Amino acid sequence: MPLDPTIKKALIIGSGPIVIGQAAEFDYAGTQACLAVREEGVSVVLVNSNPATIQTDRDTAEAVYLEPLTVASLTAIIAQERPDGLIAGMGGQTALNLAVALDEAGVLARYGVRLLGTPLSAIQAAEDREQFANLLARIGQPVLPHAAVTSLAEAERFAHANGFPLVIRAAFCLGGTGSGVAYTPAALHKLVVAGLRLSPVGQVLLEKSVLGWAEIEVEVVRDGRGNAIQICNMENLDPMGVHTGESIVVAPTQTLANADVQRLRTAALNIIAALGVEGGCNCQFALNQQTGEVAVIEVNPRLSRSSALASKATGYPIARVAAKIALGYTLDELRNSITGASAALEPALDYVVVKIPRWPFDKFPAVDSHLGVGMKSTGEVMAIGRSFEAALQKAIRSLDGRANLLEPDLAISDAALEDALRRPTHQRLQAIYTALARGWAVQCICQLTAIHPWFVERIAAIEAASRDLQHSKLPMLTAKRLGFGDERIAGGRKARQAAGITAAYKMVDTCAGEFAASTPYFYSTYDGEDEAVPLPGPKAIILGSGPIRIGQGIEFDYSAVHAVRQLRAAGIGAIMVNNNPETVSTDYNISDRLYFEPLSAEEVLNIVEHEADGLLGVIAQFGGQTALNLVAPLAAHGVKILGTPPAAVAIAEDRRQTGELAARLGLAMPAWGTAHTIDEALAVTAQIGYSVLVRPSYVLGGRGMRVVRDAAGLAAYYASLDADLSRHPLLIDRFLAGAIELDVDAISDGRDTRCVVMEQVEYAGIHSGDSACIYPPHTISPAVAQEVEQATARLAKGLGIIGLMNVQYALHEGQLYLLEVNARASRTVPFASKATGVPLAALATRLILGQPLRELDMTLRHDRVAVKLPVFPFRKLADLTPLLGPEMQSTGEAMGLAASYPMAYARALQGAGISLAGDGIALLCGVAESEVEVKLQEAGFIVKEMSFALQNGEQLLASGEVALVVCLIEQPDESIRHLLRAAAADGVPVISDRRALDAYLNACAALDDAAPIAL
Amino acid sequence: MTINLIAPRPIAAAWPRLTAAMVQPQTLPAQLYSRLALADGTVVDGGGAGAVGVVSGELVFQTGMVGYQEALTDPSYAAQILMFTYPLIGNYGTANAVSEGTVRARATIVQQLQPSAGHYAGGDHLRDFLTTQGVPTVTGVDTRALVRRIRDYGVMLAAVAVAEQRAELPSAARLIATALTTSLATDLAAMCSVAAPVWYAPAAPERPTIAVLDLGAKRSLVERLRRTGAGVWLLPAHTSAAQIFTLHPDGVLLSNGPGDPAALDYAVATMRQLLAARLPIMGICLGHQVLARALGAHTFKMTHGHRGINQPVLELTSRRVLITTQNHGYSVDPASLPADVLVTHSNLNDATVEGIAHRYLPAWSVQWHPEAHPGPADSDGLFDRFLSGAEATRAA
Repeated sequence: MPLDPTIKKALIIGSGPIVIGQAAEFDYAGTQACLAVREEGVSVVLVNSNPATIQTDRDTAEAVYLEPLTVASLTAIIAQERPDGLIAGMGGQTALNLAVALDEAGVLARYGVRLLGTPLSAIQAAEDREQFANLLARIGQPVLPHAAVTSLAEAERFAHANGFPLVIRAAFCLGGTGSGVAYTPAALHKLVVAGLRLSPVGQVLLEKSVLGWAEIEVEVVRDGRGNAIQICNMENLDPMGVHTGESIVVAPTQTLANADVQRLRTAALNIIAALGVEGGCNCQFALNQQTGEVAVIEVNPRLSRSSALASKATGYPIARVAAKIALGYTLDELRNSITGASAALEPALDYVVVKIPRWPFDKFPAVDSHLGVGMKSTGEVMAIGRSFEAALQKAIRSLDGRANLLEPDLAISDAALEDALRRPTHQRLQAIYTALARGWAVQCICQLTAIHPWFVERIAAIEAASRDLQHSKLPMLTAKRLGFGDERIAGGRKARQAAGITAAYKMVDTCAGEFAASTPYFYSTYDGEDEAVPLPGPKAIILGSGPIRIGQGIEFDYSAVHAVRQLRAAGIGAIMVNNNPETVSTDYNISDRLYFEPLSAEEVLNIVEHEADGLLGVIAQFGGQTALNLVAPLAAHGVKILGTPPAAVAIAEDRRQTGELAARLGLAMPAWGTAHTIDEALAVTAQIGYSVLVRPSYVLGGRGMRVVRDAAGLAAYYASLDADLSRHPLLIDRFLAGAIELDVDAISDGRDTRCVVMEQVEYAGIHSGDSACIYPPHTISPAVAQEVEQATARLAKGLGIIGLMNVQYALHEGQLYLLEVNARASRTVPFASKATGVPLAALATRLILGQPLRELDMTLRHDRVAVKLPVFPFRKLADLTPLLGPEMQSTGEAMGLAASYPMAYARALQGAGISLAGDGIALLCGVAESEVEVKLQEAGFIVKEMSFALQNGEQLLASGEVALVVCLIEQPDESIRHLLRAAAADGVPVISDRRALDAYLNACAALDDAAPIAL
Repeated sequence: MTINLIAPRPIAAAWPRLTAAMVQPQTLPAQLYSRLALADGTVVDGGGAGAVGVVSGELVFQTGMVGYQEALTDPSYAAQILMFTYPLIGNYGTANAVSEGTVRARATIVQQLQPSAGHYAGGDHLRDFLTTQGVPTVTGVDTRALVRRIRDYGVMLAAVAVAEQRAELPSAARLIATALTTSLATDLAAMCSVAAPVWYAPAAPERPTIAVLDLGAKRSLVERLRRTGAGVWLLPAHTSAAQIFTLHPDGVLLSNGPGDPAALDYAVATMRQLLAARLPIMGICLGHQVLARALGAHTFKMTHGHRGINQPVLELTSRRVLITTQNHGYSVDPASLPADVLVTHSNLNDATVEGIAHRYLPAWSVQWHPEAHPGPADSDGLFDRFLSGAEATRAA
């Protein structure tokens, strides 16, 4: 079946803001889908509220709407655009749920919009456990005892009949929200009650547990004629009981025999045939490796995090093929444009892929770091090697260079170690390694962890090799083949190179070398022949930003992709280095060449040396702090850094040097000091006074940053630090209470500078990444705006910025203070670009390439208001209290675009999934303030004050009558914090800032049905 | 809200105790040394396993990520040196039940020979299997680099030497000479065939009788036929048509096997007589090529053939895609097919002929292995189609 000619315009729905469980993988899938659809001459309407995505760029689709992902908003867009079809499989569970809702609301029928790709019946059958179980039974696939219940009594009856442990899930919740394992009636009670409340349909799913079995994923693609192939199978190193998003995942499967692989493949293909999937699908199985028993766990009839991983692991563009299938093509009609092989060729790998999740526990020490059936990780890294050992060690190096999980933990007691093996945390690899180093038997570790012996034996091989390495008994080449970094080699990099041992690069070609492919996608290995003929010059290397973590998200990938495109447009070969499988930047179609490698000095230097001929240099300013941290080591090896020079980066990174520069330029900064000891810290505060903002230097996303109000607080903070203050001292800034923060993204060619000034909604003291942000500024005078622009221009010139910089200012009692300078692209670049209509990262790249700023069109749009609103992981990480501070907590953002500030704010709130209530109960925690109370009442809320809230809060929350919780006290006690957590867990908005409260109330009042605005 | 493992018991409690087989320390033979020489002059040294000795053959590669034991024991690899593209071979061990026959490959090449960490179906160490079967094995070489050479220059003659001491390995020049003077036996099919007819009784007397002309058949082929309850005669390659007629088969299956179909004039002659008798005939792989020749077509040698479990094949009438297991170095020339023979299947990668059928005779064949083992079972239904033809014959 070729292209369906009746489809002229297709609507593609994105996945909204980045949250735990739904990250950059949908930007990758959605962007690829847009390209695949448009190259068929079909125009695309794209809707996504997340500005930090390539897919919401003006030129990704014919029309881009940064609008809320709600039925109302989509209905308006459909009415306006009248698409012929809807592609819902590219935007995660969010888009799938929305498609179901649009169908149920009759919107699709009313406007004659066909769902393209997998039909609704398949989506519903896969989501509804009962329907799904019936389907499995019909086609003879094994089903675990299970039930869908709508009451606690039903759940108890099921438990009585089937026994414990039971897996409990809230229906229609993504990423394992409301999931848990109950071993006891009490736990069952707690989980079922919570799950019933969380599930949008009030349904909880119970299932007999298969904890400890192996978890295997099979990624499959099926077309409308019923042709289906397996793209990749993947084995979770972690057993059932750990969410696959939390698991270390290996591709292809390592411990399964042909019979197992074929049985699971056949099962997956039969299931998607029975469902009628047309597109990509992820099938999860449990396999008892003692007996060979198999159970079907779940099926996701859409693109997913796993399909992104499978695409990157195999080189097979699943989203692209799924999009073509949605348009009517069949697999036999499609070809892999790069290998020339048929798109029906099942990929064959000749390497091992390891994925490791990235967890936010370093930022959230209060969050329980045990891994389970709910997701807590924010991102992931992937590494490729010719052995499991090498891939694993490269993946660990990709995590962020500090945590070496393959080093023994000398401090842990045997008892604690046993517990760490039994109950996995993000440190589980280190626990295994430590146990091996202590001589614990592989068998024992397997029994404690339920991890297959094959994996434990491979880690044991690394441990044994590590000991040999220490005693200089391991040949250097063997060490490199096992993936050890140069720092573990006696004599380091120099000695290795002197011995003639260099990295070779091999291609990811989907076919294990069977066809002569030209895939520009490589990984390093020390096992043999190099096949990456250096790219012809001129060319430049762009460093990516690695795994998505709080403080460094998809925004950086956005900028990096823009830089790549500008280089290519300028005829300069763009070489991308990154290790995040979710992203657009690691789509090998984006750059001229992709090296899927750790962002470590070692690996990047290897690539620089390999590509030396014709290499202009390395661009580091788009890869966040990860890339910026590589500037100094690369420069030390004589690598040319393109754009802002390393010296400027060093000044901006160093508080003292920044302070000196500011003084020289006549810019005020809050009084500040640095301290290596508590005595020095107290001396600093004696001079500058309280409150102060304290943090260890060289941190990202405000990690470890606190506002401290007195000496006792300072001492307590000091005691809680585990950073090495001798190397990176404590920074102490005077805290400017009640100041308005301004966030500036600027581009400069070293002489001229242009700024985008954004105003933050929350008062200074809330991390800029956690604050809502408005463009154009809302309250500042033109004079202040001019002052900000002049100050920024002086800073840019003073530093010698070439490319992007980000500056934060505070406006305190009429005085402008410089807070922070970053000599790199910032988190706000995509928002600023979309708000102003000026592609900052792209223009910055042209400046880096030497074009003068005055030649660029920098006309900023002022005809509409844009609001950026952060989204928080409070529902997923239930231990977090939903209060904002100087430490960043948000995972993503939504954008609202409208004619007025309140309307844009309302759109952003909806885009972030926050309900806008004009009535209901507002719980007011804090001193009774008539002003606030009146405001809330005027807005239509019934206000309940703190004493009442504390007594009845949870009950009220359970009743669903609470629409809003407001907490304006500075340091609420534990009882209030508990209430706030309960509110956040229920999805009730919690507001803790006066400016944000005003914005919220104005937005409620402004809620309109104005037509959606295309970007 | 996420609630994690409110667990008085650890999840590991659900993991049954490991069997002794899963944790037994592996007993590895002493490290051996190997040298590999290709006809183009490439020589690489590696580790060794399996058996000591010097052998030569045609170097081919196989892209399956699982199924190494099935591939090693597939008689179609006779006179070949089988190299795996997946770098870790041996992870789940071996099991007696999985073998397709005795190892006919002259040697094998793996990047990393992995110890088995156990498997419920067996999990014996592949290293031990290779030793028992006496297969000279090269380990620790860059298999992808070798694949790229074969891909660009076509299958090549090669020689493998495995010895206990590096010094005992033949010199590079000598090994290249060995490679260049490789003798590939001309009648490999007969070599891999049963020596005398073997009879497998049917499950019930009314079930059809199938004669399998064994050109190097895999065990699973016969097993697949027997699963239908059919009675099966497994016949030596040189069995004449007259002898076959005396068995009164209801259908004839021409099996897979090694080597050049052009060397099998005797089987082609047999086939012509069977065709004339209008017996239902199914050909697989080498059997497909023999059938094509019997129908008047030519076969040719491919540059590096198809060896893997991921080959996409299009069924031309239904336009359905089948993912197939393949292992062949020769192919049917479509231009040489007579007018009364249809191409039924085509390879989606290189458009080579994957299946043919006679317009008027009940004879058809496929280039791939519908019996899988290893590989997908997508085309398992072909056996049912063949069997229903045989049943019709029996009923008539």
